[in-house]
Amino acid sequence: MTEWLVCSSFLLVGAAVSVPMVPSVLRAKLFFSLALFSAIADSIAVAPVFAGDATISGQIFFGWPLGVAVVGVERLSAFFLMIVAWFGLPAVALAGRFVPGSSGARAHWFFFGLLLLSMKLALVLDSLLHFLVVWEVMSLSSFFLVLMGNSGQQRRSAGLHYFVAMHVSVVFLMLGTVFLPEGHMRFSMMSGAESALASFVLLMTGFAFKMGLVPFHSWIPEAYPAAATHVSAIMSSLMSKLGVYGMLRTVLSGGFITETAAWLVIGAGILSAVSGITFSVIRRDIKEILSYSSMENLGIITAGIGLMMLGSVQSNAFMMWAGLAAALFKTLCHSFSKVVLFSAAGLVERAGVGRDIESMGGLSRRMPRVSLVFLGTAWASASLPPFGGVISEILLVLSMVAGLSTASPLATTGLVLVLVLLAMTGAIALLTWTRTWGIAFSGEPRSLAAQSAREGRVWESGLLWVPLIGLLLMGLFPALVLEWVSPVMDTIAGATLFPDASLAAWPLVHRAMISTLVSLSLPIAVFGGMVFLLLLVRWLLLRKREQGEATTWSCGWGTPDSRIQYTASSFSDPFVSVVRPVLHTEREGESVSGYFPETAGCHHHDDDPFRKKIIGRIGVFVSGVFSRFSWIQSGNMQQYILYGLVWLVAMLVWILVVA
Amino acid sequence: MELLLIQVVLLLVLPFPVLWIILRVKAFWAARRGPCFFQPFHDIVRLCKKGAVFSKTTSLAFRLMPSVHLAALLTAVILVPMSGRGHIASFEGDFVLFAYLLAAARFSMIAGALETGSPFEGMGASREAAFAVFAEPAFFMLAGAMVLAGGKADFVTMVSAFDGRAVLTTLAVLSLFIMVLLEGARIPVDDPATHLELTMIHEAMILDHSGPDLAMLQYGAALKTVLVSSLLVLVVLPEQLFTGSAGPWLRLASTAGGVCIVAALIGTLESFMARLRMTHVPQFVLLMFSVSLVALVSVLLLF
Amino acid sequence: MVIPFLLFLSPGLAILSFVTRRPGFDRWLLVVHAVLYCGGVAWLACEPAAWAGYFESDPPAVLVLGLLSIVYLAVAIKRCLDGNSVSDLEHRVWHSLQTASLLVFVGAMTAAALSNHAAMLWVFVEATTLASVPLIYASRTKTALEATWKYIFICSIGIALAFIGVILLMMGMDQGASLYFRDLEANAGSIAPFWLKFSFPFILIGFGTKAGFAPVHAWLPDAHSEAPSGISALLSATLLNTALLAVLRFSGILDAAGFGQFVRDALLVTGFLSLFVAAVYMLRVKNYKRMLAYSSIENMGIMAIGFGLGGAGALAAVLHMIAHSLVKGAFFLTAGDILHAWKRRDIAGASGVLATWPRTGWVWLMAFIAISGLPPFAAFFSEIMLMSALLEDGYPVLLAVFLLLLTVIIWGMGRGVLSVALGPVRPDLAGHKRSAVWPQAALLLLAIGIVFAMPQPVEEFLRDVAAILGVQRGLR
Repeated sequence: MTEWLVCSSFLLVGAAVSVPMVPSVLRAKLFFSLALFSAIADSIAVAPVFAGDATISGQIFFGWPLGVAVVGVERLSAFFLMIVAWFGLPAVALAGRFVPGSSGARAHWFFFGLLLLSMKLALVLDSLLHFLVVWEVMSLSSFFLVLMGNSGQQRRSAGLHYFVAMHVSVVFLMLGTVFLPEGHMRFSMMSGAESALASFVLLMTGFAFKMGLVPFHSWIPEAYPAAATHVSAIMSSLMSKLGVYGMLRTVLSGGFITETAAWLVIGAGILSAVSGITFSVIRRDIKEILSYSSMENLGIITAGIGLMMLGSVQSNAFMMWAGLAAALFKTLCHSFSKVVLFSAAGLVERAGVGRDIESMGGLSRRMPRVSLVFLGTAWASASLPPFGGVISEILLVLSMVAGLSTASPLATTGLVLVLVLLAMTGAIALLTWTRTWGIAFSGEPRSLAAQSAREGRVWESGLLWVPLIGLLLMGLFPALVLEWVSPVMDTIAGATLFPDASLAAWPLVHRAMISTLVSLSLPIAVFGGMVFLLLLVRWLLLRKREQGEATTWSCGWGTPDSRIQYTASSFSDPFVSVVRPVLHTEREGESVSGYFPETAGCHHHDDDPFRKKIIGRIGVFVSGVFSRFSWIQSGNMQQYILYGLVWLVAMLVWILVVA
Repeated sequence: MELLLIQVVLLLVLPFPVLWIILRVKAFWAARRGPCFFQPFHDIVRLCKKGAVFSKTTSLAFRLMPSVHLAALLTAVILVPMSGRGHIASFEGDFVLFAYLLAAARFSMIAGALETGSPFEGMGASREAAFAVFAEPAFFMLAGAMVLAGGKADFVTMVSAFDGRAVLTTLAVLSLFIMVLLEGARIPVDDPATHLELTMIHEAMILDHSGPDLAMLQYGAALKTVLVSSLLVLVVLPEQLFTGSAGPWLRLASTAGGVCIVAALIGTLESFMARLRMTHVPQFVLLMFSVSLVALVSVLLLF
Repeated sequence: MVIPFLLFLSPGLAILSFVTRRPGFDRWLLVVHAVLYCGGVAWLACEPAAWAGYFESDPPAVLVLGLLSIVYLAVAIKRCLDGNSVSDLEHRVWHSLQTASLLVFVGAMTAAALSNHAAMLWVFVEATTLASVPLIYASRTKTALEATWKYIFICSIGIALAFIGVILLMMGMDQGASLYFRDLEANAGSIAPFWLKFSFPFILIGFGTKAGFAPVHAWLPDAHSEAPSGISALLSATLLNTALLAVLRFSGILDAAGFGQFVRDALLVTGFLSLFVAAVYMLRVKNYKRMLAYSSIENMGIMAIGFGLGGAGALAAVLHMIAHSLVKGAFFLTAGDILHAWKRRDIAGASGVLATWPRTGWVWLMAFIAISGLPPFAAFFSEIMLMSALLEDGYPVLLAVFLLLLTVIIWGMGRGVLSVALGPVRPDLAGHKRSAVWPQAALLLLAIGIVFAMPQPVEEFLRDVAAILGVQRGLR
């Protein structure tokens, strides 16, 4: 088992090192094959972990200051390892299409390989210090990939923002690590430490940065879009999941799950979900929309983890099972869907259309294959049946419902509030996905570039059907998926569910829940079947009838053109105008006055208040505070000498007074 | 088994009488004679027999969406327990699936509308999506209140959770009635009889559909009204009235009757009320939100 | 034998260089000297030696000399690879003077590091100032003159204070008592506590001036900015270490006398003050070489904190010293390449390095990563160890301040570094002769390698250094 893991790592090392050296035509193919083989090797390695009670453990000896790196793969790691190994492959396969021009291509491939490698290594390391090293290598390689993205000046500020966020995040993780006494600096040994609670909070915060939870998300909508498409896809669908892994691993180490902690996690999750999806409605850069949606999904996953924790605190096995299942299910769904969405957006961008959805339009006729797969995935991302997303929503609701029975009145109120916010998230998701699809892909072209956009090769978009079909299967057979995941859930339950009585109930809960999910399959299958049936009926009805083509009805206009179409901003305005008080809005231009206004112009720009107000203000505040002291460096020699003197006198006084 | 089948058939058939009742009631208040009983049915059949005209702007998605729309609603049919007993698909959390199926229907409607590139349809779609943002949490809030009162999260338990509590039932009914108006695109939210595109929501979104597609959308809209009003009626009629072996059958029949009464109510409302100004519709939807909130708070206080 | 070899090799070759006055020869001379020097230090590391009573090798001295030899080798190779032909006589004389001063500078630092006597240490630290003056004035411009003047003036005042400090120390001792550090430490208890403590501020500020501690750091940004980059590399990566070593040798006496807490407090305050000053300027700095200079102030501050904490903190500081010397050497050499081609010192003017010269750009970025304390570079480990030490010694508030200042510094520095690497490309530089990058790259690799493959003897050696230099927390 271990040798297969080593083999998989070496394959990726090989990919990182060898791919930049081969001629550019071969690079993408070589990289993909190495990544594929590495995924196969990983699967062979972790299969026994999944199947039985086996764990992979080992030690790598380094000298001081690294010490001994402890490798420990148990079921949770194995689960995430499988996601990292397989789910990114469509994006890896398309990477050749998205690597920016020749100058940085070699470095790009190198860091892409390093990113994949470090993600895997982060999953297999048990000792926190080494985990941190690998974690940072992962962040750094993605940082460099952001810097080498193909979007001009944006990448500089995005890169800096990402770098600082990454640093703050790792500071939290480092603090979390150093709060643990020597000998406890391992995921599997944290619980015994006295300072575990402080570590817990710090580590969770550090991981929240990587997941982009409110209010630590500000780098996400800058860094994801600035990176090249395949990198955005990997960052959003896989790298952010390592934050989930970290959170689960921290929770798994157990011992300090309290009700407060659970509520903090639930709150962070649901607030991220609502705010993420709200901000995605106001953006017009398609990759930014996807980034914010990523934040929403991770928020929901976090809420699931929080519910699981609450279930564990209350010894409520039903609640815990459903919350955990929702989190893991959503993790899978999101990993599938974001790869497709980012790749499809990238294919559109590569067709010369750019990323602004207000200048797209009409692509469903010009790039039909990409559009269709985007539509399907947008549908799935809005958590609509028959795809997998809806299952995780139902599981979340079931978890909350199960929680109502054991919760205190206050907690009950909280749970119902979360339920309502979840519903709101779903409804806003519908708005954002219809907006993205409708404005970007349908209607008339909104720019010349969109007018002349043409589809690429068949395999490019064909590849994206694979994850979409995966999502469909997850929706149709949720029970099977959760049976597959159940070893992971058993492990977590075993570590965090107390007392023994509730743990003993766990298999019963499992069976009961699985049977609910089985009965859930029926309506979803009916939905799928019904679609086909109706399409058949429709085809039969229309077969012999006349079918004509005409222009869209436009009440007196000859032909509808892009200028009279609804824009993205106007589409979302009825909603945005309600939430505008909490947004950051920039308004320019005066309102129209008089009957015959001479000139009128108005520019309106809504933005994420956290990014603009809080993060921006923190920056301004910090600069302000520090620039108050700029007089220190006046260029005046006498002044400098004076400092020395003052300092000397101060120290002498200190001696006289203190000593 | 027969109960389930009849329940499904009843739900599938009810849209026609409901449409007819609404038209008849409106005609009655306007002192007209109104259409014959089979008129709504004939309308649908007529559309099915026609060919179709598609806009040059649209693509494959436009042709798929009406079928998807109806499929979602037809699936919802097997979730609504008109008899008060379990339905074909009754399970913990079925109300979530119900809400998401309605959302799926909404998504397909909006996506189809945006396909045409028409400003009117964009306008309608935009309103539809925005109103749902307020309506859906309201529905979940009400559902939450019912779950809290009933202890279980399936429709069968939920609809009888408020039995015997008049105030709560009234609140739930009010909230659901607004939902019926909203989902069914009825006055005061939307006016099915309007001829001014700028004021339409649902009607705007189907402007460019024709033939069987239009038939599916029309039928779907009526079906949606039936589904939500069945829930409403189920909440009103207490479970205790229908005991014994014939209970479910009786309840099925009375729910169907209740749906017809709701239809009559809608017709009456449409005859005496004008459509709200578009800027006031969100406030109307927020009314549903606040009613549900009041219901929820009272449940939290009571239980 | 090896100590006189190290001590006399430099001045000897300096004379040779000044006599021949051939720049081409000088370039090779430096490389040969550097290689010989490295060999000598390696020998010294294996076999401790003493010579002439005043010079003696101990682990801290070997560490400082080792870092000096490595960075110096890189600088010498870099000079040799990138050397420009100098034709006219005046330039040749100036060039030889430069080479000679550089050699003397290295010699003086060697002597200062090896001195085991308080007065000798003072003499050689002063000698480093004098020897480096021509090096800073290398470009012979008005601004270089100003920088040189500031350098001499401030450092001289500093060194004068240090002199007063030594005298104050002597006042506390018996007449004719020995000024050897080992005797001072052994007899620390018998030194009058008042004079002992009174001397320390003078010593700290005096030698601290050269070590770049705030608030007496004012010469440092100017000098680093004006000096040729190889010299800046040596100033930052080795001179500061030597001066820090001087401060710590004296603080050892106080520590031995039981004033460990006082020394620790003084070093902590100094360290945090340096971090603060660096943070203030990192946010406003416009000149990328000055930016690196402020980063040196920051890193000296970190080391002061570490040594002040003693124990695990001192070990962290030792590791940080290694990390900083290697990385800052690489960083300055790269900055020199950029300055050479772009002819601009301002961040806005020197932009688009990554696109124009990818290799230089990558080394530049990597050096930034390394200095920011991110893995896999050594500074990550020293900083996490320091964090742990701060926490263990019961300074959680200081830890928070430390992290805040560090984050601000990284933000400010990142802005400048990314602007240089990724800013608008200057098309006129496409055909410019590229500078070699592998000396810097080798330094950076060493900064990674040191943590992944640290030999056992080196680790023990570093622990020794930490034990000697760190404050022992001896409280009377």
